[in-house]
Amino acid sequence: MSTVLDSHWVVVPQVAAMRETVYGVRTHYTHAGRGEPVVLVHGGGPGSSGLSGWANMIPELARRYEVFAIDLIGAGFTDKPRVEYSFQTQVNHVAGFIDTLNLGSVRMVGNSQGAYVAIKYVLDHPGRVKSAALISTGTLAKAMGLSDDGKAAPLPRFDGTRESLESFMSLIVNDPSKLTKELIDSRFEAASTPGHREMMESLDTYRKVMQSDPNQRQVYDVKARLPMLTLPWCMIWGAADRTAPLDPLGHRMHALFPNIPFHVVEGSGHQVQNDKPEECNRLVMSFFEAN
Amino acid sequence: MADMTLRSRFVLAGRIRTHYTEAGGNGPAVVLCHGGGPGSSGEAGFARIMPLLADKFQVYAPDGVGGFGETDPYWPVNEGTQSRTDQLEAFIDALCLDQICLAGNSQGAWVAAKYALEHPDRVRKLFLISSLTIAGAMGVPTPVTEGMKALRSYDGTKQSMRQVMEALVYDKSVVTDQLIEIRNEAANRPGAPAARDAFEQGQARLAKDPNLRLKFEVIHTLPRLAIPTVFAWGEQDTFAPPEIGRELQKLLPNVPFHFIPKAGHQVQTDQPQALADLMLAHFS
Repeated sequence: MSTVLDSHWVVVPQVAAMRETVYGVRTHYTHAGRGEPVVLVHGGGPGSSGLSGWANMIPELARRYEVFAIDLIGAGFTDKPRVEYSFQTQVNHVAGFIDTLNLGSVRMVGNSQGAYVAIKYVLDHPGRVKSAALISTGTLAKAMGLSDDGKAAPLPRFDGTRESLESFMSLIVNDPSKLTKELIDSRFEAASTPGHREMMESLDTYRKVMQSDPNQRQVYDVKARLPMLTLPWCMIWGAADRTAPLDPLGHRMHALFPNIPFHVVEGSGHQVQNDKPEECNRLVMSFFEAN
Repeated sequence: MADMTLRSRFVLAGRIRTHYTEAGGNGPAVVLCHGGGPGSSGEAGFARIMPLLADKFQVYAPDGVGGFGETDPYWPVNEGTQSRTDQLEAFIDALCLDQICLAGNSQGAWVAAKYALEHPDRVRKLFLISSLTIAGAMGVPTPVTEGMKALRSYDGTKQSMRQVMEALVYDKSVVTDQLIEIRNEAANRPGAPAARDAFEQGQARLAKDPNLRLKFEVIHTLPRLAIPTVFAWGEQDTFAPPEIGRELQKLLPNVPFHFIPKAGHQVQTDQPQALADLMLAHFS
């Protein structure tokens, strides 16, 4: 039986962005399955969305859980208000989404920038989370104060063309056969919606602002807080990740959290859930069964 | 829930924590408004018909304010059924349902019709089922019926719940002990009995206060509604007898009326397939 992936919408009543609050964020999400809720948080990058980020994981998770793959504010088919974005804006959007749908105690999976968003939600709302699985996340490593020693391959810039999107995708997924026309089409469609590139540019600006503004930096930083967290979480990392390289970022995260399960997936690039879906699904499912 | 095609969900509709029952995939939206009565809810009202609509439509049955289902029972319902219409508006907006097919049974039929009158641009089709509330709002005299007596004498016990349920359906065999158990428990949830009282007071105010009644009456508006509308009525309805339906039919000459044999007040529970066929034909 194939799993039905439903396309749904809901208005998140308010989301606090960096300097102003957006009232009424029309939010798209992909929904499947029944059971305890799992929220999937996609990464950054052009055209990312709940569906394009998690199409290979949703059917597996939906066998046991009710899955919500949100399109974050500024991404997918969700509203893209022209505001100044920070990662906390995305955390606030996820919080509003979970609250609006009254999901109670959730499990979370995040990839890349979305893994940072997921674990920041956990830190901000520990009473509302069961566990979290994080996949290859340089954004979180940096929020722990770690450096990639210049080993991270720079991400190709999306200039509005399909070609630039394809070269971006080739950097985060290593197996070319996994870069299906469907996946590229779906990302290109989302990447082409008005406001999306403005959101990404705004986040780029935010990354620079953080380096010089300690007030913004302390919002992003989790160096002191994450080690205090006792809720179960785990890390999954692609051995051949080029943008958040296992050596050194993954290894350094592992060294900081020796008691947190750390799974290396051989041959996988940055998007482990799309590059090595079977192994990634198996790891997430068994982690959730235990936690 | 017994039926695997039904999903139990929540959404913050405006500021109202609203529970709803959902079925179907990515089809066009159908919203179903349940009737009044203790223990009523989206699921209680439409569980039997929802799976029959779910192949073609995405179907939503929200639990009303006023102590119904799992929706916040503490939300004020100063204007009775109008408060339910206001909630329906917030619900439809919260789920971004830009264009809907809308149906309602009994009190819920008034809620649906009032929403369509207020937001004609959002409603493609309207389907109404056995409604004394609409009859009253159209100025048709509504006698106190056997069913109404049963409803009014509900005292929180399982025995009186059985009387209520038997008054609403034609086929008494569907009124199982399990159904009574579930509905009576729902009717006695924390906050629900008080919400029902408040709702009744609000409804009396809406229907009787001369100024508020302007919001309740649809005598001048419903006959002029251009949205394609169909009415269905149970031939064996002892709560809202079919004679009232026939009176109403005279006032709504553009609306086809279907009188369904072997059906009581909850036509969709007594004759789910017959009613689903009518709905599918009207909505498609």
